[in-house]
Amino acid sequence: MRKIQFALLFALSVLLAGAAVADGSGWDRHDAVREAVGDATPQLGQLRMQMPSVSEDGSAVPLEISIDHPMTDGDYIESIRVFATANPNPEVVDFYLTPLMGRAEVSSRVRVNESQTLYAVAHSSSGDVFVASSDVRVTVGGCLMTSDDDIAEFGQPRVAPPRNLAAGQPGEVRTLVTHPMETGLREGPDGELLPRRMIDTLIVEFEGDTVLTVKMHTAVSENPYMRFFMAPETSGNAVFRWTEEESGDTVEEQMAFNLS
Amino acid sequence: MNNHLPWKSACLTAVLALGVSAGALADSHSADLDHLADEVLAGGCAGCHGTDGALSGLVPAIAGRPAEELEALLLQYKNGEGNPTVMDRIAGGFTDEELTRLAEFFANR
Amino acid sequence: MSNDKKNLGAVSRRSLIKGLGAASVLPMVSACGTMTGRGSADARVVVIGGGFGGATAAKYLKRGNPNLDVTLVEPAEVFYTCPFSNLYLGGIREMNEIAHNYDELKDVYGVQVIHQLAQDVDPVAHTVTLGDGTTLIYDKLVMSPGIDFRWNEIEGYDQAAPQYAPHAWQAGEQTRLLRRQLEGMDDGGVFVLVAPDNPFRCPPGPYERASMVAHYFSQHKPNSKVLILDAKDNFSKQGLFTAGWNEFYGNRIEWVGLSGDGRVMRVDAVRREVETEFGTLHQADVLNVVPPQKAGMIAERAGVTDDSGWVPVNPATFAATMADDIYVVGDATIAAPMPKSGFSASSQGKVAAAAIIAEVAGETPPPAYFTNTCYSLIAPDYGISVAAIYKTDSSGEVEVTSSGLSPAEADRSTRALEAQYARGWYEAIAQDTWGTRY
Repeated sequence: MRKIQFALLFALSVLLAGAAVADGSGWDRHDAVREAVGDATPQLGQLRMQMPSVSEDGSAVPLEISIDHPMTDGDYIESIRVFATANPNPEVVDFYLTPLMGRAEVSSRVRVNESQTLYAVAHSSSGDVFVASSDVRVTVGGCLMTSDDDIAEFGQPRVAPPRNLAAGQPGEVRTLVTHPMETGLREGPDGELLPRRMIDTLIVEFEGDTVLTVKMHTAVSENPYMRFFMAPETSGNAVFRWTEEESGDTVEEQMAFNLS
Repeated sequence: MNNHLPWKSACLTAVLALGVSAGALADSHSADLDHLADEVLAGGCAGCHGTDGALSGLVPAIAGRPAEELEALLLQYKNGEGNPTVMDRIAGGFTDEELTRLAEFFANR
Repeated sequence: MSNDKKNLGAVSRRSLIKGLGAASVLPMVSACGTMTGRGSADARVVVIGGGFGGATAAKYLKRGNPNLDVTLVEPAEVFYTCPFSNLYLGGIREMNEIAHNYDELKDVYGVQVIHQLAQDVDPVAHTVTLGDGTTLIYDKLVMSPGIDFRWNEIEGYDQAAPQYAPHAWQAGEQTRLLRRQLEGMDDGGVFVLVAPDNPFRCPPGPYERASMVAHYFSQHKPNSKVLILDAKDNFSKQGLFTAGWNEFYGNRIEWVGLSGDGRVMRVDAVRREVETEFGTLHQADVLNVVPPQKAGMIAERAGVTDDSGWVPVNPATFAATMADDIYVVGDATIAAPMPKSGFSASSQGKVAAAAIIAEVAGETPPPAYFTNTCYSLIAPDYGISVAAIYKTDSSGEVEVTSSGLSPAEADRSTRALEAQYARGWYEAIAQDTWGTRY
C-alpha cells in the first residue's frame, strides 16, 4: 500500500514537473519577483527566456531573453530584470532598454548556484508587464573538474559591432570586459572571504543618447558578456562604458558605426 | 508494466506447447536475477580489469583471488593507503559492505 | 557462466524457431527478406550502434539471459574508437590498434549482427527500419547512437567542410585525414583546434589531442605550434593539462578561452581561416574544428530527444523518458554528472542490459551503479586521470559517491604509471566491449 502511494506520488510529481515548464507561472511565490512585477497582472507566454535545461558549468550559463514588441518612442520595452530564486542574492541582472535598440532581445552569461527556476520580468512603457521563466538543472560533469586559474583584472574591453548595419534596422552588438566579478561570498585558498569587487553598470550611448543601461548583480559571470541590438538611423559614434562599484573606476570603448 | 506486454503470455504458451516446464523457465530467471545486482555493482571494474575481472594485462587481474585479500586491498585503497593511483578514488565510492560484495564477486569468478 | 551454456542457449533457440515454423503465434515482419520472429526467445531486443554503449549492452544482455534474441545493428564492420585516436595523431599508435570487430559478439555470445544503418524507428509499432529496407520488430530497443554535428552552428562549418578542416571527432577516415594533413604541414606551421562549449563528446579530448599533436611536432616539426580556440573559460583537468603542457611543450601550446575571445563564430574551411566572437582572424595551416553536437540522428527519428537535442533518460535504467521500451545509452543521453565518455557508455550499457533482463522476467531492475575513469596522455609516458563512481539514490537521481583527479603534485613515476594504466584501461575495455585481444 505504502509502495503504491509512493508510486502515485512520484507519478504525480513527474506530471506536475512537466506542467511547470517555463511559462512564468509560480512567479508570485518569490518575493523579489513579486516586487519586480508590482501591482499589475503580468502576461505569461509572450516573453521568451532561453537557457539550457541542463548546465554542466553553473559559473557561466547562457541566458537569452526576447519579446516580440514594438520598440518605438510611443511604446517600447523599458526594462527586463532577471531573478535566480535559489541564488544567495536573487537579483541577477537588470537591462534598461530604449527605442534606440530596435529590438527587445538581450543575452548574457550568468551564475546559477544550484538547480532552480529563473524568472524574467519585463515592463513596457505603456504599463504592460510580462513574466517568463526557465528551469535549469546544474550538474558538474565528471570529466569537467577544473582547478582555479588566474584572477581576471578590470580591462580589455571588447565590442563586436553589427555587420551590414542599415538605417533603423536592429543590428547585433556583442560586448565583453574582463573583471573578476568577485561576490564577497566566496572563500579564497586561505579560507578567508575574498573581498567583494563588482562591476556596477554597463552604459551604452550613441551620439550622446543612452541606448542601454545594464545593472549587474553578483550572479553575472566573471568577465561580463552582454549581447543586444542597436538600430541607429545614421552613422555615428557608440560609447561603451563599464563602471566598477565602490572604486567608481571606468573602462571605456568607443566605436564608429557606419551604415552600409 | 510488464503485465500488458502481449508477448509474455504468448511466449509461455509456446514453451508449454513444446513440453518445456514453465517452472524451469521461472527458475532459470530467478537464478540469473540473483547475480544481476552484483553484476551491475561490479560492472565498472571490467573497464580496467576486463570481463569478470579476468584480464591479465597492464592492469592486474582480480578474478579468482581470495575474497579476504581483495577486500583488504579495497579497504586499504579506500583509506588512501597502499600507493594507489586511481583505486582510492574508485574504492572511495563504495560502502564497506559493497566492497565486501565486490571482493566475493571477483573471488568467485 | 561458461561459453558452453551460451552456445547451448543459442542452438536450442534456433531449433525451436525451426520447430515452430509458420505455426508460430508471433507476428513476423518481412519487408525485404530478413525475418525477425521471436521464436521461443524470452524477448526480442534490438541494439542500434556498435560502439562502447551498444556492443556492451548486446554482450551483457546475452550473458545475463542467453534466451534473449539480440540483434545488433551497426553499419561498420570495423569500428574505430575515438579513445586513443589522439595517440594515432601523436604517432604513437596505429589505426589497426584502435580497430575492433564483432566476431566475439556473434560467435561466442550469439548476437545477430547486421551491418546496416538504422534509418528509422517507429516507437509505437516497435519497429526499426534499416538502410536496405528491412524492418526489425523489437520488444525492447537499446540505442547507443553517439553524436551528430550541428552543421552551420559555426557559420561555414557545413557538411562539406570536414574534407578540408576535419573534425576527427568520429574516428576513422576523418582521423586519417587529420594525420595526413599534420604530416603534410611545413615545419613552422600552426595547428588550430576549435573546441566547443559543453556538453560535448569526451570533455578532455580536445586537450589530449593538443598534447598529442604537440608531441608529434616536438619529434618532427619543432618550430610548429598548437593554438586552441575555446568556447569555454574552463575545461576538463585544466590545471593538470596546463602544468603538463608547461613541462613538455612550453609555449608550443597556446590556449585562448571564451573571455580571451576564443569562441569561433565563422569558419572558412577551404582557406583554413577562422573568425572569433570579437572579430579576430586566425589563419591555420591545419584546421581541426570540433563542432557543437547533438544526439545521433536515429535518436531524433525515434522521437526521444528533447529541445536540447539530447535524450533525457531515467538514470536508474537508462530508459528514455519520451518513449516506452526504448533505452538510450552513451554520448546521446543527458546523463550529467556522468561525462560523455566511452567508459560511461559501457557502464550505462550494462545498467540498461540488467534493467531489460529484469523487466523481461517481470522483476524490478537492480540498483544502478556507474563508473567512469577518463585517462588522458599529455606525453607518451605522462598520464592523468579523473575518476568517479555514481549510484542512483532512492529518488532515482544520480549521485556522485566519489570523484577526483590525479594529484596536482606527483612525481614522474606516478605519471608514468598512470600512462601505463591508460593503456591497460584501453586494453581491458576493448576486451570487455568487443573481445579484442592484444
